[in-house]
Amino acid sequence: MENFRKVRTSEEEMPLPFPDLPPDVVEMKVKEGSKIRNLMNFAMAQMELKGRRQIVFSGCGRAVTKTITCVEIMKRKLGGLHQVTKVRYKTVLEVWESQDPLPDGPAQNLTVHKNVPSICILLSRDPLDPNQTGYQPPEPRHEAGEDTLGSSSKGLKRPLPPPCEELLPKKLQVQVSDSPRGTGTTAGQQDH
Amino acid sequence: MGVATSAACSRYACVKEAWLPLRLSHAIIPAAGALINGMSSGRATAPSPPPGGLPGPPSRRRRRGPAPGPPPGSPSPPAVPGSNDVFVTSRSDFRAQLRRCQRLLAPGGGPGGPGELRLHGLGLAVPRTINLALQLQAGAGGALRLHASTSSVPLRDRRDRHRDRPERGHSGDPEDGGDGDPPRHNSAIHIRLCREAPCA
Repeated sequence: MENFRKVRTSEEEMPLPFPDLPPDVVEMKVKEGSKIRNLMNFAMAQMELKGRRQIVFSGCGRAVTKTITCVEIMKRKLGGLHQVTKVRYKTVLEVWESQDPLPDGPAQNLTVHKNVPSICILLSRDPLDPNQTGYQPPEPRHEAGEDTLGSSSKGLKRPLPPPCEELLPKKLQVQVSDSPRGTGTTAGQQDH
Repeated sequence: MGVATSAACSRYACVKEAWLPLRLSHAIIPAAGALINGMSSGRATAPSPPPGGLPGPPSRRRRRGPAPGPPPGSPSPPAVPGSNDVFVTSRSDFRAQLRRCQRLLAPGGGPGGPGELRLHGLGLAVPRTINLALQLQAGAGGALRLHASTSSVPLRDRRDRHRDRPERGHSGDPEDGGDGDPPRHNSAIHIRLCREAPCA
């Protein structure tokens, strides 16, 4: 294969493995070079639209892990989503062209069929059939508890306000203007 | 000195220290030897004291019996390889992993029950895990059912203390104790294969 170079790569189009899907369901095709931020921005915007109850993430080969990452991020952000995971092989067609063609003939082309593992994940706000293979119920809402804990721990992590003792002399100077500075504290307190 | 500190150590630690030749006194070596012999035979006897008395801590002479096991009431150790859980890595040879899974799926192969297997993959091993499951399904002629689920696994990276010393006054995460960065999440897949249909 060292005398060949890849010219074209195409994936075989296959229908989604989920039954009873609406025709306008959003399908997020995750590729190896896709940016998770861009994918999530679009997916979250779609799910926030009225009438959008389901979304599908699909990826193959090196994009499988990224697909799962997108799904986990969405589950954490939205919560209460039912999930169905389907794994299967996807056929990828690669066309290789010879770099050193024969002088009296056309360039030799080589078509390679590769079966790569792929994953399709359906996320739905509506309950799905729990008996179908690959069904995963929504996770219990620990994120709410964790968030409150996080916020409380963040509250604990905040630096303490400066002690009031530093402010006292200034306050007393403002409130008790006649008293000398050396005896300001007790005289000031007595006045109050 | 290592001998004095090992007075309060467990029997296992005493046996471990037997392999540090520079720190041992002559009183420890026969004691350690008796312990090792006791571990192998199931019963240990106290060594005979040398003439002139024994140096070292007196509690060492009183230890008898086999090496201690886990304390009573402690939780049982996690599932070890050999059960029907297979953790897939990208380092191992794929054919060896496939052979091992086929052996576990065979009747009487795994202790967890014949014909049931759970594959787990993390990060870069996820496509390989899927490939393994699909190959097993293809080899079984459709008699296997796949049940895939995904999850996020928190990972914590430990920083090398000698190389990266935290600056003084750096708050950091109190949960780390300054040892590691905040946890990051990695994607994982869990595939359950079973011969009976449908999977419970």
